[in-house]
Amino acid sequence: MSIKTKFVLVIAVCMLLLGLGMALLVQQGSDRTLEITARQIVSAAAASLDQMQKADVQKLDAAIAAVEAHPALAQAFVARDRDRLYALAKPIFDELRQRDITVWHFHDPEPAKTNFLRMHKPSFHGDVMDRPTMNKAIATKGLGAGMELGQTTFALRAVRPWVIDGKLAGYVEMSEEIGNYLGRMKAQTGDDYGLLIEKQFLDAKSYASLRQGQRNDWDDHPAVVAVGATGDASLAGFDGQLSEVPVEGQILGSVERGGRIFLRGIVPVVDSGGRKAGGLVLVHDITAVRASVASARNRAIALSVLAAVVLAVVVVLLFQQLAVRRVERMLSTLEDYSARLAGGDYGAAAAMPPPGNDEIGKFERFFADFLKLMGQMLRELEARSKK
Amino acid sequence: MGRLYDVVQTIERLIAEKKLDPFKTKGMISIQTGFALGLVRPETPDDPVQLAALKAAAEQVLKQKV
Repeated sequence: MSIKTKFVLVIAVCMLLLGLGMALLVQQGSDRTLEITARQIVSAAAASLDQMQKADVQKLDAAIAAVEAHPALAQAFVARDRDRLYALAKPIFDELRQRDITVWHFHDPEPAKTNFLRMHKPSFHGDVMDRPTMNKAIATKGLGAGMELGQTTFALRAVRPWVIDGKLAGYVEMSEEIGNYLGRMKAQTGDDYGLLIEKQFLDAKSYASLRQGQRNDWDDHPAVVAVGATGDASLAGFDGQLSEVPVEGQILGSVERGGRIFLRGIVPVVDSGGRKAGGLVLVHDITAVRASVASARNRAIALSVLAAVVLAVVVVLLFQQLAVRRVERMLSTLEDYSARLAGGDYGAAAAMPPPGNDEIGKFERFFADFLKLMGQMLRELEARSKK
Repeated sequence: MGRLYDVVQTIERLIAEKKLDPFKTKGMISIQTGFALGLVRPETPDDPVQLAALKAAAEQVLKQKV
């Protein structure tokens, strides 16, 4: 195999490896881009859920403040006149319901902490309110708010002390179910969402009894039940452990449906007691993003391969021009003049072309001197043989 | 004796007839045979091995039977 062929093979292998390496880097880069994009989407969902909670806590707090400023309500509460309080509060409650505030309680102060009036179920009262939000309102003498788990879903609760004429009369609580969060988030982002609750915080029988004719999906997932979804419910499942999902959310991977690719992620829903009691699953269409990244990746790989091929061709041509042809010229010259010397032209060295100013020229210079010496020796030898 | 010299003379004649470069042609034949044609004299002893090598080299270089 000629030196040139070996060189070309080495260059070809090197450029192939270089091309493969660059393709691998490009692939890793595009994978990283998709991963970063996915993390941003999940983080945005976590932030959106947090912002929505904060905004709604403010809404509930403002509604409580407005109610506590109502003199007639205050009088009825201080007098512990349940029927009068209900009659005065009912029209206000009807208005609040229009704003998704579906629960309004009045509670007795500690140490009793019992419920005095439920606006949505006035006949049921007297039970002890021992919830984190209530306890926080008692401890801070201010607002106690957060997510709390009911029998089938989460509610965002706000509780405030009601001080009337300088004396603590009791507590006012308002809450809303967060089921409408899913619709609101979908309206904002265009993504689909699902709400999950950890089974360990629910009672299976109570859950089944409250399904209202719907299929009992308690066993659909090992650790959670899905209590709501805006789109394809099958995309909103989760078979892992909510306790292991970080606060900033977790990517669940991608899934293909109907020719489109969807990113799934989950954000934990932390209740007012600090427990990861549920999860918000988001489903984001990444078909366009994937296609765009794939297109850019393919272009980059094609350019890399083209660049490797062009570089290989340039290197081979340069090698051919600078080295191979130079060596071939040298070999031809040395062969010619060596043959001439062997043929009796003992002065052949003097007619050799001037050596080049490179590494090969150094050898040419040496060989010319060697041929000159050989010529002199042969000339003398011939002369002696003739005597 | 003298056959080796005769073959060298034949080679030189053929080189002249073909108008080939005498030094280069004789040099290539010499390199292939392993001895210098210019040192062959009429009195140079005949060596069958050298004779055969010379004829073969000459036929290859001159592309003609010698």
